[in-house]
Amino acid sequence: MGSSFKGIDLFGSGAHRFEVGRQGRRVVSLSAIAGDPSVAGFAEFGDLELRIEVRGRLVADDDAGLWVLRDAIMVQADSGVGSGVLEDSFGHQWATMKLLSFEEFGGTSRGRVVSVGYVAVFGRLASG
Amino acid sequence: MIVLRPDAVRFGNSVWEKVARVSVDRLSLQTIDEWDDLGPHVVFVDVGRQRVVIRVSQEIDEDDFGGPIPGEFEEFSFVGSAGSDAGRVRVKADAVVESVLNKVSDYGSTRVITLLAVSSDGSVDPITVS
Repeated sequence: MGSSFKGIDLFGSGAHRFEVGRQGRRVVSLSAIAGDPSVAGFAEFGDLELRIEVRGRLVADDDAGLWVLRDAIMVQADSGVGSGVLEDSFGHQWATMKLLSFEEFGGTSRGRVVSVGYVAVFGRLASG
Repeated sequence: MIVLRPDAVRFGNSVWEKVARVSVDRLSLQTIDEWDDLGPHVVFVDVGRQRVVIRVSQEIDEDDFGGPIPGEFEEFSFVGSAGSDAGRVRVKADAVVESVLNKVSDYGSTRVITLLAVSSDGSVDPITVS
């Protein structure tokens, strides 16, 4: 079973790993809010928004193939695109997720195949 | 690649005599390895950058005030012989001298010249065998 976003296999060309970000309450120090270091205590401001990072490598036979893979991901990162279900390689699902950002690192490698490393950040936004 | 007692070892217009062996090593300078969520083992390996190193071992049995200089760029070539003309193989590469080391002992002197092969455009193998 492969991972998917809205049922689309975005990352299956290469190895990739899911990493769930910090979860729980959003706690802010009252001293920071007041701008006064003498103020003690903390305040809660609801739950943290869920973030999931997918780190991996897009792999293609040539540069044109790699651009096809990139473009398919970037379509989902567009601000006008709605949320959907993100599913990892084991079938675990997170609903109402958006692809917030996609960033490459290390540059394109042209060895036996053409490949590039990336980090894709998905989020469940309180704003919907 | 290792060639013993090659013939016609040339670097540009220079002919290098009494070459005992030429070796060509291929090294990875950028190994890419990736793991998946599915388990502990690497599932993808590729080499994004590589270096081709040529080492020439030359026997020196008399005074020699010359020799290549690091940074020199020329066409390097030699002929490997399998004992007959039919088995002769010419190896060529554009290459830069990286180092010249002289090893002296009571039993003789050897000069080891290390060259780095240069590709014409980055995608073509810098070593040509014909």
